[in-house]
Amino acid sequence: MALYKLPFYFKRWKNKDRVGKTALAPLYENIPFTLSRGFLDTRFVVVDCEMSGLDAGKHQLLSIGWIAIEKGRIVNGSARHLLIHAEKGLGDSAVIHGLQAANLAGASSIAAVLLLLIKQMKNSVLIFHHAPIDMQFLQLASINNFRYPLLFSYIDTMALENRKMQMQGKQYSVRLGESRKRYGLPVVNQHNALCDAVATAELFLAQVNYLGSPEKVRLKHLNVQCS
Amino acid sequence: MVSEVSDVQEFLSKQALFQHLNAEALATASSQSYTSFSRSGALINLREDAGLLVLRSGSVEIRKRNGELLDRLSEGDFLLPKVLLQHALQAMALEDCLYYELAATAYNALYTSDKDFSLLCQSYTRRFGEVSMEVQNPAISPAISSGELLLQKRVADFMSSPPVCASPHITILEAAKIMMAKNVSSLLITQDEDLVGIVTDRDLRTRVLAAGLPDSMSVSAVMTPEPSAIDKSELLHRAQIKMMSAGIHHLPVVDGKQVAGLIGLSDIVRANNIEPVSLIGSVRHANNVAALVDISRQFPALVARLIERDTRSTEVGEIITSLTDGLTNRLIQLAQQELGDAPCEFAWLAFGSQARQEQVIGSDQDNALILSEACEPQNADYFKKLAEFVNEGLGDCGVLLCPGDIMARNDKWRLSLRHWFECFNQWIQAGSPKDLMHASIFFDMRHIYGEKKLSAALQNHVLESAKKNTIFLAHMSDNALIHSPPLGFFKTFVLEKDGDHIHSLDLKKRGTIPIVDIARNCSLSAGISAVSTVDRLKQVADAGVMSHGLVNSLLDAHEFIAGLRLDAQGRQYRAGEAVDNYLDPKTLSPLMRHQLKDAFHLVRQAQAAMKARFGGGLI
Repeated sequence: MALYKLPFYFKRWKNKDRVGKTALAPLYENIPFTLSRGFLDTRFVVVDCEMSGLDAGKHQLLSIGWIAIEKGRIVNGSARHLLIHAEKGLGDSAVIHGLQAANLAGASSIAAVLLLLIKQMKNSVLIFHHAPIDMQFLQLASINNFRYPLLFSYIDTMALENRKMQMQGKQYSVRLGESRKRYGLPVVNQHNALCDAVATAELFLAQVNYLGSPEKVRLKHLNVQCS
Repeated sequence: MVSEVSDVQEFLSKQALFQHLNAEALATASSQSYTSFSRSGALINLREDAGLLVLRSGSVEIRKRNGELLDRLSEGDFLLPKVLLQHALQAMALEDCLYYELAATAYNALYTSDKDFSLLCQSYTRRFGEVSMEVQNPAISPAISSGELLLQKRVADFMSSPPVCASPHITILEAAKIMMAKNVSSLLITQDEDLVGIVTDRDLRTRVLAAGLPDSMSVSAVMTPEPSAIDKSELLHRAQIKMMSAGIHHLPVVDGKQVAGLIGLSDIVRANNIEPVSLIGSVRHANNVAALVDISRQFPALVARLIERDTRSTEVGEIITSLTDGLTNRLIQLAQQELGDAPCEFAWLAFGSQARQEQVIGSDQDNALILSEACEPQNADYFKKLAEFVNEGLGDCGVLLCPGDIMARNDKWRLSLRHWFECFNQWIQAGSPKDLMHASIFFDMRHIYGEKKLSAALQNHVLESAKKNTIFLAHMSDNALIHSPPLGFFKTFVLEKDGDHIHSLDLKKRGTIPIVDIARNCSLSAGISAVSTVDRLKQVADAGVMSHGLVNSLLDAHEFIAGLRLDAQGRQYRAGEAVDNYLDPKTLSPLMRHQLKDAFHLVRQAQAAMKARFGGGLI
């Protein structure tokens, strides 16, 4: 866990001077979080991405949804759902996500969306449910648009759930819907980037509450990692 | 950015507090909300910056510090942190819960700008307030008293006015000429603007032409003197019932003492296109029990139609009761045709719901006979036969036989006036609440047929002796406290005081009867002669026994509960099911749940007030 800071400092040192003039600069001014920092004192931004497929090289981001957690509760007014211009042909999953071409017409460019997200990321820990894929797409988009990757701290609720299952010696599904069920969270019928981000945020609150009383939970309990 | 309805907004739009808000107000509220989670067994963090908590999933218990359970919340229920903090109450998650906190600023904005929202929140606040006889600012949930009264039809709106009037000194011929000129079928006879009589077409036929009287006589000789009249502010159906029971087609309308107009049966038929008029008419003309049975088969369908038309429950009660009264009257007449005239004076009394004019479909009959002192023992057989004839006749017509056998055919309930006095004295001087347990319905009595003076004498005696006897009132209040409304609802259950759940709710036992009991006890204590619950409560307030605020709220609660009961019965009837008093909480909308909970709370408050006043030992 303590190793989280090392890669953060390394990446920061490696790129800081070069990103200085790009939009990424604020991220590289951040310093890693102290792990004794309390859950209630930390701002989190829960992010979910919808893609046209699973291969970051071939497919592309279709939409991003996010919502913030402050003082241990989800700030409903902070929810954002942003659609992204289609640059390549849409893959199969466009149908699954219910995103119609017409919807995408009113979408923003990936650069504009990233800029909005970067603003949110300052002094905040990001949260994903199954972080690797979303992060792959986000990093590639960042490199394509700003030449460098994003630099941030994040928590993966799926990893948290996996850790819990391992400690309990159980092998239940750690998918979002199944995990939510175990905490008595209501069934979500709609699936888009924002709905899944909100669902992940609620799952995260439940996970934290099950780790201990929220005022005692610290970042070190939450498996924080560096992008 | 995509504009869309968030889950929070979607959820709030279905809840009692928010369902009436427009999309814009809902979006504002949900954007100023937070989502929180509490693990089962943990205390909910009541933050000062949250004005309101709405439960999204899971369940919460509200308890006093001493552990007493006050409420249990499930999906869609809400709580006000400030109120709980004020009263040092704790909210604990019973199951994992996800809940929305509405920011205090957004809560305050809604509270000041939206009346329905603030009323619901106020009623919530009062649930945890101190219990007192003098509730200053009565709880009135929005839809309970949503101006329905304004829609009620009043006599004044349907009468013909100004009425055609004439002096009692004119001749019959002059009267007939006036009636022809004005094209009316009845003429009010007034002296110094006071109503002294009425003359109708029919009077001219039967009392003048058929009797062979000269038309030069004074009209005062053939008019109906001191006709019954109705105040112009009365509800239309009261006029209807008055006409039906008196068998007349025109009713003078007065404003205080002054003549204000005239209302005819046809006006009412036009206003309501309602059937009881014709039904009561046919009851009055039925020549045998079989014909009455036939007519009474139409009653349930009529009641179902009344319910569909959103008739107020008090009115429905009065109409059903007027049908039972009509049946009783006609049956007594038919019995007398068979048995001959009564050997002595008697009065037929109704008790319980018929007396209070609060019958519903499937109400049973409670009645008795008072015989004049002069009644000889050998005449007992006559009245036994009469009572059996009437009781069985009513039973055949669908007015169920009383399971407790409180009916005139029971030898115990055919007494001379003196024995009735003794009987009531025994109750009033009873040694324990238990001795009085089944006697309460006797204290709702109304004269139906026969010598009114007998009934009046008994009623006066009861009122006089009950009012002075504080022990009796305490016993009655003790018995009344046996049936207490539930705490509220939890998920799809009814929540009891001890935290138990039951599946369905007896609206009669747990809702209506407690209010009826409160009205009876309070009015007995003040010597009030009114019998219907609504009239009793109004007079109880006027007499200062209970505050106007509490009474008004209780009246609203009564109408709401009785209305729900009627609606449920109407549905059962249409579905061809057996009609009962049970309500399945699953069928309640969020707002109705909330209002019913409020109504129950009020009843409990009034019960506590009654207990404080009469010193009952139980609660």
